Amino acid sequence: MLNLRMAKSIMEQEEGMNHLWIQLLPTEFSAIEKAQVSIQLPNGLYRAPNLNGYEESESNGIFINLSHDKDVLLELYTQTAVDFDEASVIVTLSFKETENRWKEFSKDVTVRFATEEEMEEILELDQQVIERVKELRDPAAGVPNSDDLVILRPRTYELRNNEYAYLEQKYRVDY
Amino acid sequence: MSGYTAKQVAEILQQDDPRMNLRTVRYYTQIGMVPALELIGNKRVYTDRHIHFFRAIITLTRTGETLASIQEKLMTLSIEEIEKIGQQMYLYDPNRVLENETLTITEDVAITLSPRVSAELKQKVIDSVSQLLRGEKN
Repeated sequence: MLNLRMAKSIMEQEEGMNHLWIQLLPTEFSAIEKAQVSIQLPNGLYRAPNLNGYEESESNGIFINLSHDKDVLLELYTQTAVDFDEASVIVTLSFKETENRWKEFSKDVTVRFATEEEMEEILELDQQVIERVKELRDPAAGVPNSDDLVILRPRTYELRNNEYAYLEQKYRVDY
Repeated sequence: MSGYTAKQVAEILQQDDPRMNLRTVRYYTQIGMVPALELIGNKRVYTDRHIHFFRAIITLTRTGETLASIQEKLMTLSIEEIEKIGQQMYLYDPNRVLENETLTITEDVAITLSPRVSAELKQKVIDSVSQLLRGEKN
């Protein structure tokens, strides 16, 4: 049901960044429209809003539709140094199987931490996760590709030189 | 050649874009968005070349490009061309985009003016540039 992959095999204890790729594998429940993914992180490890642009609840549950959503991509990061070498991230997928029966699947992935100096020697990358990250627009911004975004185009005026151009110059109102 | 640590690079880039923090600098380096670090003495360091790459990446992400397409494009360009892309970053600053207006004079020439430019001066700029361009054609 869930497959969890980390972009980096190990991340910096302090000011580190990594990506968690949650793949939603096809199952008998794949037609269910309303489902929620919750992430449990150890103290000191944080996540940005999901990079797919799915809506999130106030308690940070990520709403997905199993009939067409295939994955969830999350940026994980540390700020001040964490004082452990490894910790688990638990991902739970929950949905209503029938009218009143909730079903839950949980899976965990181990995240390892190292100092910046140690990182260079032991870092391994999962290229498929990295490729998925690179397909997204502006992951550094953590801005989801939501339909709610309002794109304001810069004002652009085109200069037209035709027989009526003098009228445009005379009567144009600049605001 | 100046050598920088990741922290110094982040400090320089944060003046351009506050989102370019230390962890993003490190991450972009690890995933190959910028060239491998250079060896100066016995230390692997960032150089001005890396700063140009980072600035070009910031500029192109603002235009909506994905990291994959940015990486592909930058691979084919010279460092001078990459530096030139970075120099255009300020044009894509969200505040500038919202405030300023861009006047397309011809397919090859556009002028961006801030609201501080008066309507009278704006017209003079347009007329002068249009005249220059017409002169070039003749």
